[in-house]
Amino acid sequence: MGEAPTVRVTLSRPAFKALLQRGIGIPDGTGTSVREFLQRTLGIDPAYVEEQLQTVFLDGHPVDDFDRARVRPGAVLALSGAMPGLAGATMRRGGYYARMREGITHAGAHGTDGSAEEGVVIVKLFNRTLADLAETLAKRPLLVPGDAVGSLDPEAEVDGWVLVAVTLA
Amino acid sequence: MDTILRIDVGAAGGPKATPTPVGDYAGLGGRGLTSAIVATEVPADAHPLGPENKLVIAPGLLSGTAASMSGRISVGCKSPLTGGIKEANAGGQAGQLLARLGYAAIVLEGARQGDDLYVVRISKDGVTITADPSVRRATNYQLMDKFLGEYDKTGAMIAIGTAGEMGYGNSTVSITDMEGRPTRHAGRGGVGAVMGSKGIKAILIDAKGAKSRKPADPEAFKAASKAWVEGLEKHPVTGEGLPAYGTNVLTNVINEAGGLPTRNFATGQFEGASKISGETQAELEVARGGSATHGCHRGCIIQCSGTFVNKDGRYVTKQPEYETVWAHGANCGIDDLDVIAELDRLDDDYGLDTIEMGATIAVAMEAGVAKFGDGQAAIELVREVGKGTPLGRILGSGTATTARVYGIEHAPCVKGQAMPAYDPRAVKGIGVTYATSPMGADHTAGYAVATNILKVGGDVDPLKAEGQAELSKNLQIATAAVDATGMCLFIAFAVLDQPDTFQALVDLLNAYYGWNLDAAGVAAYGSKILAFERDFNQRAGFTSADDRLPRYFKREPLAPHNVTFDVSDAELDSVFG
Repeated sequence: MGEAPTVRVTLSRPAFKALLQRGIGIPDGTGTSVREFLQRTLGIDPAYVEEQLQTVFLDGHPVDDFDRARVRPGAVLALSGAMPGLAGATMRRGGYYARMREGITHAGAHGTDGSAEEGVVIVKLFNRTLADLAETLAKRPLLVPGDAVGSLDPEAEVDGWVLVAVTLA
Repeated sequence: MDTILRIDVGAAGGPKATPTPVGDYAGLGGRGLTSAIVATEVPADAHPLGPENKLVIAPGLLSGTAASMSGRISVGCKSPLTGGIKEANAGGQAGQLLARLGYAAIVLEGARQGDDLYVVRISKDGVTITADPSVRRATNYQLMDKFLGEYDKTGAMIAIGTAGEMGYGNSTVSITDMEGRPTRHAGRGGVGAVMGSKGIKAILIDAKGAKSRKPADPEAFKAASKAWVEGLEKHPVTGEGLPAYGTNVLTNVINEAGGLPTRNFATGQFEGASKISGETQAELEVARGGSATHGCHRGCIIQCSGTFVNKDGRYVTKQPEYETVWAHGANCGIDDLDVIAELDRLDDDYGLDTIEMGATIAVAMEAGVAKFGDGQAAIELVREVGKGTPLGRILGSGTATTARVYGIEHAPCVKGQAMPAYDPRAVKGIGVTYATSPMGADHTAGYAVATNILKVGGDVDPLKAEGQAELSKNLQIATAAVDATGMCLFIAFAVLDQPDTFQALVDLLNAYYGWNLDAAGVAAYGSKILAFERDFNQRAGFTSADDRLPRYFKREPLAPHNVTFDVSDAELDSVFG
């Protein structure tokens, strides 16, 4: 993704939460473990990471080990609290029923080289993490889909994404 | 709760109610009682809509007590949809009230005489049954309008809509909620058609003057009840997640996992998921003046339901649950919450199971009857079902029948019942339960209670891929036991994680009945229920060949993970082998 100006946008909290469910781009921090990405790049409190992020997906695969799973450029990382139901229990990080979804479980460092390669990571927030982490993410530059902010500046949009500084209304 | 109310619909002069002692069925409740009566008294080769079948309506063992979350009610029979034994359960007010009136069950039995439709009224003063021509072809909300004045203060209504009256394989028994609305349904398996076949349209319960049931050991019950509530309130799912977003909180997560069946199980992710998620739904409900946090019966502290209102702030339906949002949403390619809410309302009104109806519409869409994503077409199809047009009758017969009529292989059914909202290729352990449950494809059949706490069948290493069969068996045993208590299955989340909360549940049963049940006893109780059910199904002609998923789930990979259901037949057979 090339250089582009940062666009200042003001979003209502519901609109920002809708964006966070679809996914926003984080421009840096790839090549690290999921834990490092969450704590260092996103600035999430380590205790919150350990205790509240009970359901986490990397490229759609449930993650059991935050230290083994690595974030590569283009990765999609989705964060959620503990979920209801047997399906919710099976998706839970390191849960007793994790084996019931072993066919889709994230295979640790498989497919990544672990280097500190630069790139964009797509982050999605669901359920309680929307309420808990929206303000944290709003404090940093984010890439959002151009259609979501109605960008009229063609130079601001690169590959369909716009780099924005968000103010929450 | 020492009385079974037997209503002989074939009695001379019209249906006759006779209170009978609970007798050999003492100690059974909810699913335990419905399955025991059906397995014992209904010939396995009976036609589901014939005079030999019975409809059993039973509160749980703890229903009508002061124990929180104990309002579930079970409805059992031989299923018109599966041809096997069926238990479907629901929330709402009726379970608590029937139990307080002293009834362990209502049994509708016998050969209907003539085609009159009857309304049953039950109070502490007795039972009356009257023919009422005005209820013919009434929908559930029309019945509410007619009878609300009778039951709104101290009562509840159990009823069938037009689907049950027309004998559909997809037909529910509705139970009214705290507001008297017919929003809670014993949904699966066509139980409404069996009630219709007995000529009973509605049962009005008036519990005025009835008291909470008294435990054998009041002090121990009080202590257990306190621990029980504390356990539910401290758990992140029952204490926070469900009250805030309802069960539809699962849409985003299951979609992200690639397990959200989309467009008749063609793929595992829906591009419109975030538009219909629980998070979006809750925002919309609150912004319009509805509610995202509400209980379905008094005594519920999880409050996973809500109230969905339209753009003008007018009530449409209760908050559609995850299964409904999936069935009418992702599975039909529909990403509009207003359309989904309208479909939910129609399902409740006609008395249709939302899972079966959504799965059926998706099959019809694959067959070209309508286009995926066409919400108005979906609404019109459900209206056809409610009216009983020829097309509506086909659709109302269920997903498997609709697929046969249109020559579609992709019928996502087991034992004739449509799969719920989790693709078994992505979550194979749930697929094992879909395949082997006596109920047909059912996500709630293997839902509850920590098998690691019960330790039925020994400990299984959770890090090994093997053992899906053992897990499924243990979950099914535990679920059957919970279904007998009258407790909402959503307690499972807390019980799953917190051994002291599980112990509080056991303590509630022991304090109420004066039992000395332990974890092994709970497991034995659940096993006994499953034994009733599997025995009935075997006598009805089911074999291991029926404990299978449709073959295409083994053959066609599911995107995005490109996984198939590869659990072997031998492992499936080992679940109850």
